[in-house]
Amino acid sequence: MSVPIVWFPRLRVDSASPQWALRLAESFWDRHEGYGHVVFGESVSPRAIRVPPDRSAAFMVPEPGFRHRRRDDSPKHIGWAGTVEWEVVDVTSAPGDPLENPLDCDRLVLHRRPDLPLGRLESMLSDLLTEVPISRIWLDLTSTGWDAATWLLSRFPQVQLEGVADHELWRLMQIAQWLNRPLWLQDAVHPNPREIPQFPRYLNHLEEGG
Amino acid sequence: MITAPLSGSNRGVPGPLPVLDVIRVVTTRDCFAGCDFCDFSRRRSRPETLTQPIPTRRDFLSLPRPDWLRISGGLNAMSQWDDILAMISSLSEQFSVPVQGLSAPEIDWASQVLGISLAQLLDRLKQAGLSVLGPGGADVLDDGLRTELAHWRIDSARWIEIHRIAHARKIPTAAGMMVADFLSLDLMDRHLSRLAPLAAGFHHLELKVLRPNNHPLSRLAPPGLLQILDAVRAIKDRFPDLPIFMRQGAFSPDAQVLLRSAGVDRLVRTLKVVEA
Repeated sequence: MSVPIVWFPRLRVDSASPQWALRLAESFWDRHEGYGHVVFGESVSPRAIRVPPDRSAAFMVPEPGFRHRRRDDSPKHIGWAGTVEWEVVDVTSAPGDPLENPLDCDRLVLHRRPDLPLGRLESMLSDLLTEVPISRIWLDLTSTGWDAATWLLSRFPQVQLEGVADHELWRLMQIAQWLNRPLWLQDAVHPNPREIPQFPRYLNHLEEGG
Repeated sequence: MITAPLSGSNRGVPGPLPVLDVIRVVTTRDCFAGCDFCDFSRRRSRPETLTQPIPTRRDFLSLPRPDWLRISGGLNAMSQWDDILAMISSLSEQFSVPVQGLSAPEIDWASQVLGISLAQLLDRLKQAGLSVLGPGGADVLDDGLRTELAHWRIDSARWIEIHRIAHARKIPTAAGMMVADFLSLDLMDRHLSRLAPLAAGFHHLELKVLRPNNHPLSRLAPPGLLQILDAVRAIKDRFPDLPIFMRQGAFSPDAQVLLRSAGVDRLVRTLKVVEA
C-alpha cells in the first residue's frame, strides 16, 4: 500500500483564561470527532486545565508527564535554515536546550524561512532525510505555502503537512487522489487513524466508457 | 507522475518564467455555443454586434507595448466578419507585433456566415495579417467529453481539419489543451495523440487551466498543481520541441519555478482587454 497522506488538524490556543482555552480545545476536538491536535501556548499551564487522556495536546510550558512543544529559530546544527518546532513526550532537558538529534523527538515540524527558494528548500530537506532516518517529518504549511508543500509532499514519502485547516481539506484530498495515496485523519494520541473517503470524480462515467 | 527533483542543489534551479505581454481584443462575448467551461457562455448582456469603433493605435498609447495582439470572440449570428477582418488588417498595419487569435470554432462559423470555404477564409485572414491561428476550441479532443460539456462546439475532427487546412496554407497555429480537475492523464494523453499528426505546423501549445470563473463548471475545484505539472510533462514527452505557453493566472513564484522546471516556456500576461 502506498504511504498515506495524513490530515493532522491542529489548533494553537493561547488565552489568559485557561478555562476558555480548554473550551476552545474541546470545541475543536468535538468538531473532529475526538481527533485533532491542540497546542496550548505559554499562558496555559498543563496543571491549570484537565485535558482528557484520549485527547491530543501539547504544551509550550514544560511539565513532566505532559507532551511538550519547543521551538528553535536557529537550528543550523541539524542542517535546517529556518525555525523548527518539536515535541517530546517526556520532558528531560531544560526548556532552552536546542534539538540535538531529530530522532529523539516525537514530532519534528520544519518551518520555511521566507527568503528560502524552493530548490534550496528541497535540497535541504533531501539532505536532512538522508542523514536522519526519520520516518515522518512535518512541514508547517503556513510558512511553506501550498505550492511548495504540494511538491515536497509528492517528492518525499516521509513528508506530511501540519496546519491544514478544515476548509483546505479538499486540497489535501485532491493531492491524495492524484498521487493515488490514501488520506488519513490522525493526531498524536489515537492509535488508529481514520481513513477519509475520496469524493467521486466528476465525469467518471466518460473515463469508464473509454 | 513527476518524480525528478528540481535539482541537486540551488544551482540550476530555474527562476520565474519569462512573460509574453499581450493585449486581448475581444470581438464579442455573446456566444451561442454555451460551453460549460467558458465564461462567454454566461455573458448575455452585451448587444450582439460590434458596436464600438475598431481600436486604433491611439487606444493603446497609454499601455506598455505588447509582444503580441490576441483576438478572440464568441459565436453569434450578428458578428460582422467583414469588420473583424478589417480590424485585423488595421491592427496588423499599426502594430509591428504578431497578431494571434481566432479559434477553430470561430473559423468554422465565419466561413458559414460569409459563405466561403475554409481555405478562402484562411487566405483572407493571412492576407489581413493573422500570424498565428488558435488555440481556442481545442480543450480536449474527445467527442464524448465535448458532447457532454460543449454540445454546440465543433467536434474534434472539424477542429483538426481546420488546423490542417491552415498548415497547408502556411499559417502556423497554436495547439491547446485544457487541464481541469475532472480530466485524467489518460484523457489528456488521448488528446495529445490526436494532435500529434499536426505537430509540425504548431507554433506553440497553450495549456489552459480551468479555474473557477463565470461559467457553469465554476463550482468545481481548480486542478491541482501536481495535475498541471503532469500535464506539462505529458506534453513535453510527446512534443519535446513544442513551446508551451500558459496564461499567467495566479501562479505563485514557487509554482512558476515548478512549471518552468517541468517544461513550460512562457507565461502569457494580458496587459489589457479591449472590447471591440
